[in-house]
Amino acid sequence: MPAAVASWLRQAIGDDQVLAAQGIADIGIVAGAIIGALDGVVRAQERSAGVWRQRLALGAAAATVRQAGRTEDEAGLRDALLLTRPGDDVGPAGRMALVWQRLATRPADELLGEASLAAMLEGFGYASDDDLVSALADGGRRLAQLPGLTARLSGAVALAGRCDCGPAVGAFIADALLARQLGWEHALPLSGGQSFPGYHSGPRRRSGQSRGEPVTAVAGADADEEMARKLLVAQARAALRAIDLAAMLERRAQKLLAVAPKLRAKASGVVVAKLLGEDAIIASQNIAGISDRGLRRLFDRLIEFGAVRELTGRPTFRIYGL
Amino acid sequence: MRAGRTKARQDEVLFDRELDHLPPEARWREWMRRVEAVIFAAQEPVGREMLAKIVGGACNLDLLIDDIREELRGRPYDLVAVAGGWKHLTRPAYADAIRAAIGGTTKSVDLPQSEVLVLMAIAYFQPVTRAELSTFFGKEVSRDVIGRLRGSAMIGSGPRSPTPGAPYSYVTTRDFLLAFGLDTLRDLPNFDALEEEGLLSKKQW
Repeated sequence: MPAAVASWLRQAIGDDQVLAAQGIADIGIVAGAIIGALDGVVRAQERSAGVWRQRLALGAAAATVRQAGRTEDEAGLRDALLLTRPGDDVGPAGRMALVWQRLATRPADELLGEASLAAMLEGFGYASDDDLVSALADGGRRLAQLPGLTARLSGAVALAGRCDCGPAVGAFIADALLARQLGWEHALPLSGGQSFPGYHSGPRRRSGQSRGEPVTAVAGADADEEMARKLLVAQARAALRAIDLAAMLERRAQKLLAVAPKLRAKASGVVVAKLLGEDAIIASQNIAGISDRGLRRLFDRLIEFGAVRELTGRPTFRIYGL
Repeated sequence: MRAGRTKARQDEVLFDRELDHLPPEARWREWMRRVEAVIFAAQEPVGREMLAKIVGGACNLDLLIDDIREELRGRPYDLVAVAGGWKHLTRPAYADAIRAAIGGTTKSVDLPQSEVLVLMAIAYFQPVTRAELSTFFGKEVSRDVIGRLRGSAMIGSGPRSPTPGAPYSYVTTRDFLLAFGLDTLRDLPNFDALEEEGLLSKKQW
C-alpha cells in the first residue's frame, strides 16, 4: 500500500482560506505532490484497481449527467447499467456513463483518436460532426506536445469551450492528456467527477463560430491565471479523493480476500474476482457455474463476513459491491 | 462464404477512393456525385463511416455535403442530417402536395395527437416506465399505446425498472429522430431550457 498523503498537503488543499493566501506556484507544488502520490497508487496496481477505476468512472458520470440537466445519481446510473438487458438501450444517462467507463478501460493512447472522440461526443449527446471531431483531435494533438501539466489542463478546457462543448468534453480530454503525460496505460476519470471549470454551464449545440484555432494564445498560464489556479486546485482535490477512495477500497478488498478461502460455493472465485474488478454485481446476474440461489446465498454469507455491501438498500433487485 | 469475403476485399482495394489522377476541382465534384448517389440509393440515412469508403482520406465530408446542399437549393428536396446520417427529404413546403397526391407518405408515422404526446414525454424523460408515464399524465397510458409506439419503431426497451415486476422502461429510437427530423435529442424543442431548470427528470413529478 503506497504511503498516505502527508497531512500538510491535505491542509494546503482542503481549506479555501489557506488556499487563497497561496500563490499559484505554491498551489502548483501541492498539486504536483498529490498527483505524484496518485501516480504511486496507479503504479502499485492493487488488487482493487478494477473496482477503483469503475467507481471513479461512475462518479464522473454522475457529474456529467447532472451538468446535462438530468437527475440520475450514481445509484441510478448503476441501476441503468446493470438492469439493461443485452440488446436493449441504456438510455441517454447510461450512454454518458459508458463514455467514462471507456475512458477508464480503453488504452490511454487511443483516447484522443478521432474514433474515440466521435464515440465520446455521441455518448455525451452531441450530433456527430466531422469538423468538431477533427477540431478536438487536432487540439488534443497540439496539447499533448505542451510540456506542462497546467498548460495542458487549461488548454483542454479552452479547447472544449472554443468548440462550444460542455465541461465534460474538456474533462475527458484533460484526463486523457494526464494519462499520457504520466505514462499510464489507462486514464483515470478524475476531472469529470468534480466541478471542473468550463466556459459553459452545460453542453451546447454548435453555433457556427470557427473551431480549432491554435491553442497557443490561451495556453500560457498568464493569459488566464485565475483559471489555471482553479484547475490546479480542482485537479489536486480530485486526485486526493481518488487516493482516499483507493485506500478505502483496498482495505475492503483485503477483507474480502481474507474470507475468500472460507467460501465453499462453486464459482466463488469468479465472484470474488468480479467484485474486485467491477463496480458491482446484481444478484440476478448470470455467472457460469453458480445458480441464482447459490449466488444469493454466497452474497448473504459475504455480507455476514462484512466483506461486501448491498449498495441499493432495496429488498429486491439487490446490487452488491465492495 | 470465404470466396465472397475475398472478393469483397478485392473490390475495396480496386475501388479508387482518392482519384489522384483528377485535378482537385474535378475530384471534389466526383466525390460530391458519389456521395449524393449513395445517399439517394439508400433506404436508411447514410452515416459518415459508409460515405468515408467512397471519398478520399483527405475529404472533409461536412464541407462536401454543404456543397451538395448548395446545389440542391432550388430543388424541392434537400440532404438532411437525421439520426446520425444523411438522407434526401422533400422540403416541408411540398408536404401538402405530396399528401394530396399520395395521401400520406409511406414511412411517416401517422400517430394520433394523444400518442404523439406520450411519445414526446418518453423523449424528454427517458428512460421511463408506463406507470411513470401514467403518473405524469394523471391517467393510465395503455399498453396498446405503448404497443403501437413500439410497433412503429419509435420507442424501444431501456433498462428494467427496479420496482415490483421489473417493468421495462422505454427510450426513443433512431427511427424516432429520423421521423421527426432531429439529429440528436438536444434538438427537441426547449430541451436547453428544461435542461437548465433540471427538469429532464421524472423525479420532479
